[in-house]
Amino acid sequence: MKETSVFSGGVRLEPNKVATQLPTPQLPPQPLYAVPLNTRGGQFAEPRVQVGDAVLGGQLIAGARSKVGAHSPVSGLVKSVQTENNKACIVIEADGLQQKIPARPPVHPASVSIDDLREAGLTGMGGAGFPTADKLQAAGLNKPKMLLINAVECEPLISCDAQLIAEDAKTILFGADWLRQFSGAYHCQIVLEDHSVDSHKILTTALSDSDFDAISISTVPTRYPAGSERQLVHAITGTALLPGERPLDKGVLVQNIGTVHALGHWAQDGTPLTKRLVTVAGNACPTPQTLWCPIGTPVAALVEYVGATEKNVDLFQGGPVMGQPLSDATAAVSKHMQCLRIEIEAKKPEAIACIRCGDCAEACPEHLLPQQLHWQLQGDNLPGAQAERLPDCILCGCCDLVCPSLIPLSKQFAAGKSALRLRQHTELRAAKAKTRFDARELRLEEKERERQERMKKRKAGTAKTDKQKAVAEAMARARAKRAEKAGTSKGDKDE
Amino acid sequence: MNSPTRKTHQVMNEVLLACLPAALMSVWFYGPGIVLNLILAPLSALACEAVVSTMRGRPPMSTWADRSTLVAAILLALSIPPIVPLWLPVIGAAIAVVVGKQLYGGLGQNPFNPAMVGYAALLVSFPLETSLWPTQWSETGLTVTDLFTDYNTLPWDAISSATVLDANNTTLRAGGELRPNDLIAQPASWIAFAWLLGGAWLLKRSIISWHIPASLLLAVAFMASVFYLVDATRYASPLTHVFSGACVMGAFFIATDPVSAPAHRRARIVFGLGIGVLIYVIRSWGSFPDGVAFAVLLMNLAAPALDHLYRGRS
Repeated sequence: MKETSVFSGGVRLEPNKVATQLPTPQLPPQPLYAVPLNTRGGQFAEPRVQVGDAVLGGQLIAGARSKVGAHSPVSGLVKSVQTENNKACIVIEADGLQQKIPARPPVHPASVSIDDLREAGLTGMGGAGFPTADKLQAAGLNKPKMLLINAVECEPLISCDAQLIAEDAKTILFGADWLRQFSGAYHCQIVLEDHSVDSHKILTTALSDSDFDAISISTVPTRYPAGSERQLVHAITGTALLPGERPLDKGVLVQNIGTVHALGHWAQDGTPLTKRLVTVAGNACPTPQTLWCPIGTPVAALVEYVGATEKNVDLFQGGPVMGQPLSDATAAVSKHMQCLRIEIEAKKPEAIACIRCGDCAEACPEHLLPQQLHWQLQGDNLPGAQAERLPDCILCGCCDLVCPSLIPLSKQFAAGKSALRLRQHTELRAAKAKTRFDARELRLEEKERERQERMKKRKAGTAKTDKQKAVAEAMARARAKRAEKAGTSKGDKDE
Repeated sequence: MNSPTRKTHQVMNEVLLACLPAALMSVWFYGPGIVLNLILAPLSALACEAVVSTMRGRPPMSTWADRSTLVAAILLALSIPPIVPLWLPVIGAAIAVVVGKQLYGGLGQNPFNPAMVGYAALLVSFPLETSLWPTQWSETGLTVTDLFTDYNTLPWDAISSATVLDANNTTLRAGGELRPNDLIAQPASWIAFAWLLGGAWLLKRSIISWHIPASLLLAVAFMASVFYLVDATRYASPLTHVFSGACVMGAFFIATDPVSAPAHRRARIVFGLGIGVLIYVIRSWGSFPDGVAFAVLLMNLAAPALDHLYRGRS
């Protein structure tokens, strides 16, 4: 195994991984699936079907081309299309026939466009859910040298990656090399945590059976948050990313192993992303396991399947560190839901005041001072928090883990970050509106001035003609008079 | 999941534990007076905190649980002389808790080190009682009951003993020359050594970082060395400065209070240097023999500005 240097900060956590099992458990078919239309990163996929339409498994039902596609996980009828902002989804009523769109032959990386990948519905499956096509588009501009396949599941419990490697290492390798060719990277490294000995063995065997020369396997020490993109790049390359610097700026493209697997599948036969592995665990879950779930599966079905009968439970999406409470019991499995935790309802320990002990600063992998951020945000001082580099916070929650006063710091930072984004957004919009307004004012002023000038000109013009007219009339009159006189005299003469 | 390796009251417990060597050493030299102070100051502090917490509409027990008040009271008790009127530690602890801590909003909100607020208030209000140090307990010939008799009737002419800094101050004011001090013979140097031991424990347990104590002691030693080299008859040696008075205690236990110190590492170094320089300046040219309390309070005042200057850098 190739050992690598460690990133700074972080916390040592017991992995407590949910054991893998083969074959991978599969959730029994459900009558209804609610396919989410929102992806992380604020994209909304426009529905392309209407209520009553018949759809096949894998059929595109929303998005595509400019937006990440969403596909029906099963064949059936479109029961409803909801487009309200937070709950946007398309509900499919399964017909139980499991009919799928026809498979297509494998595609070569050179013949595939970014939009094709967008249509395939791929998003980052490690929890962030960032649209894969957008990342690859950025990569295309940056020409990455190395592709890192992230199989570092640093949060305890979650074992989607281990399960995936145990089940289908072949497709992972195929996807990895396909993506390497697509991105133009010379080399591809699959990175594991050093405690994942089984996964390492399986991948090594699969790799030696294949002819992918450009792929290698490496490990990082078990230390949270080694799976975070920035920390992973630090651990592998040996140098930390500067604030605001992205892995691509260093020529490194990072992709989650689940994403790579889904991509491999799609490249092989055109199957879009319609299912994912979800680790179901927690102290109220009698049979912790990692199972395949179609995207859109109601969470309640998972709770029932694992046999959690406890009544008063809290549901969380994500692991024990970064997991967020699922406020909505009718929520559905999304593309970025790695883990569902079913926990017995517990009273949160009460936080006490910060004594600025600095434990959080020691643990922070981004060299921030969480106690200062906490101080600034307590006073609603967003500019102050920004000066203390709030935007650089990766919300890993290491500070929460070590805070002796049990202050929910990362929750506060998440709120602060979005408030800051909102503020910048409004400021930007206000600035844009101001520019527009100023331009309009200028335009109107210009128009007004032109109008006035025209009026003046016209007035001057008409005045001139009036005078001329008057003169001409006067002259005409004079001429007429003269002519009259002359005429009479002439007439007199003629007559 | 949220189970940090240590909680706030555990941090405070470690600080209390680190005070133990100095407390024992003080009791060894100065006898039961120290014990009395160590009982009276915390009792007064906890009672005041309970009253103010109730007035502020907070549960009185919640602030007892975090031990921070206890730490402040004990540091105050170990700062004042061993034989004092009984009301002195009571008033000092009350000021420390009420004015130094609760009026600012309690734990984590105080801009000044509460123990030093209490101590400085005593120092300026009762200059005699806070600067009159007796000789070692065994040499005073006093009994425990004497501690409860009228302070003013004690045979002070017989039992008082000037501290090194006091003696230096007096000598210089009288126009005399300084002679090298026999530090080994001074209880204060032994107590300072005990504080050093406690400080090393705090460093080892990473309750404190090295930045403030190191820069503070370095600044004191540097200032003292420069002036000692210039004129050894008017300025005491660096060793004297470091190992007398409250210098070591201040470096490891007072200036490192994270609530009232800056958070940024570079700011902490500037903070420590500032305190060190101020200690030396107050000792050498001020009217008080020791300057740790005032130096810390003055730099506490500068801590927010330092944090502001260094923000965004780590």
